[in-house]
Amino acid sequence: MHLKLVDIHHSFVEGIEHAKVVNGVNLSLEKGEFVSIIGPSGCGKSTLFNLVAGLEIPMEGEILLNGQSVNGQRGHVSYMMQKDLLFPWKTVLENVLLGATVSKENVREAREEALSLFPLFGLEGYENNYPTVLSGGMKQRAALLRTFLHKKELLLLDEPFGALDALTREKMHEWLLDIWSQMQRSVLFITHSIDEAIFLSDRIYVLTPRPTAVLQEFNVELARPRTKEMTLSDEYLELKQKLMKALYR
Amino acid sequence: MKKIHEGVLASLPAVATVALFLLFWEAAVWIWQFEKWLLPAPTDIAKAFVETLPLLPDHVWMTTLEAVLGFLLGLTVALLLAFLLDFSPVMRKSFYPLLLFSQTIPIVAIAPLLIIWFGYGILPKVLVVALVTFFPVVVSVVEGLQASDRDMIRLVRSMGGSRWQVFRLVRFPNALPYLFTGLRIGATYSVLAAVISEWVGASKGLGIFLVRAQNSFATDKVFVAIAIISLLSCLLFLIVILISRIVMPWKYKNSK
Ligand SMILES: Nc1ncnc2c1ncn2[C@@H]1O[C@H](COP(=O)(O)OP(=O)(O)O)[C@@H](O)[C@H]1O
Ligand SMILES: [Mg+2]
Repeated sequence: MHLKLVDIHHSFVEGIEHAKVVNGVNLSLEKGEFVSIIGPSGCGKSTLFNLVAGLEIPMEGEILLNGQSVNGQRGHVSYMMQKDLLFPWKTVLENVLLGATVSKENVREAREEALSLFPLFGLEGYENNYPTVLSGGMKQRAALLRTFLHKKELLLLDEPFGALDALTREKMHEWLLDIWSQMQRSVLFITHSIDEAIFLSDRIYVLTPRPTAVLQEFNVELARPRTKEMTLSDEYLELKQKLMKALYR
Repeated sequence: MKKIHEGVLASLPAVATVALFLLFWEAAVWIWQFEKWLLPAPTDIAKAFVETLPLLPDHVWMTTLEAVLGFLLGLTVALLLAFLLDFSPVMRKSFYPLLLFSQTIPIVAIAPLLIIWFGYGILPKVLVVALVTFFPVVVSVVEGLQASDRDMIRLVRSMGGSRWQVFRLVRFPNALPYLFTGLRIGATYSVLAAVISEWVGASKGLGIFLVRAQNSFATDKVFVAIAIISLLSCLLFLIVILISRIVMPWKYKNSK
């Protein structure tokens, strides 16, 4: 798996005007890498994900997956959108099996795997409930489980922990890194939290305001596995300072 | 068992109100000595019911048959057309406004026309009921299909889902509550539509029973007919509610 965005431009047509949102974005993701994208709200991060997922077709530029253009093609990524988007007419279990249902995989196998992951996601006992009874955090975890069970090598996570409280969030960070290191899946991760970006990532792209482009790219040199103590190290704090400067300049 | 018990308890005040009303009615007729052809007492109506009992099943069966057949026909055609309109934007733009507008046409007024075309048999009545059911259902289903969450559709698309999968997984389930709103309206009016189209001309049915009773000033029998028509309407309505509970458990329960 190798993803490369080459000089992507994109606008939305609003009436007769073209509102430019993406203004020449270049970025790349290697197999097994965890890369975060951070930028001011409304700059076009979600739009970038929609382009990679094939929901929008870029006006200029190429999205290359393993060297081949996938502009406007769908079904090659596991995409968790910013909203949880659980279907009210499906139980939590049926919801997390959506990926398997759509790609007509072996649903029975997927079901067994899903059930075995419910405790880990803190959803045990809610398998046959409808999503209305879930709390905000549980809904997001269910959406994450659904994304995770849609087995594509490339995961796009759009602010997946936005609605979680700090404690659950930290737990999810450790869990996500654990899963990620076991599964060798590549992750592109949108966040508005600098700490989250540093703790999770190998690299971080900082985007400019709309129309967006890559402002700066940072390598995170912290060793893996990451621990909470690292967040107090000089390296960590130095990087955090640099990121804040880039974001709030 | 506990649920049934609670249900009985909850409906007690309503039952008591009805009983009180009937008692008051009975007393009023006794006190003011109303003529029987003007306002019969509930006991008179009950007597008339027992007297006409041998005649009733034929009429009730005919009206029920017309109402149910018409309802099913209206529902089927409405669903087919709704899917077609949903599938084709061109069709939708040209037909949907007409459908919205045609809801204002009083369908039962078309009954005489249908009788002229199709005779005095069951067919014109079934058609009237079908029309009465058809319009609210087609309009609400199209609305429900169109009102689907855009991002839910995009989610299924991003997974590589086909147009059919989007329909099956998102748009159709989203339209179900709308469908049942339309069906409730249809169920409310279908018995009424059958009865009124029988007025225009029929040999059997509660409508013709009602007209005959009225012509001979048998007011007690008119009341019997009214009671049975109300009961039938209620029954059809309840059946629709029951089916909606089975088809959309997520609207009524927390878990499957
Ligand atoms: N489908 C669309 N049509 C028109 N404008 C859009 C559409 N999607 C997003 N936008 C606009 O593009 C800009 C970037 O949106 P988005 O990518 O969601 O930002 P972010 O995720 O960085 O907060 C916003 O100004 C938004 O209003
Ligand atoms: Mg966004």
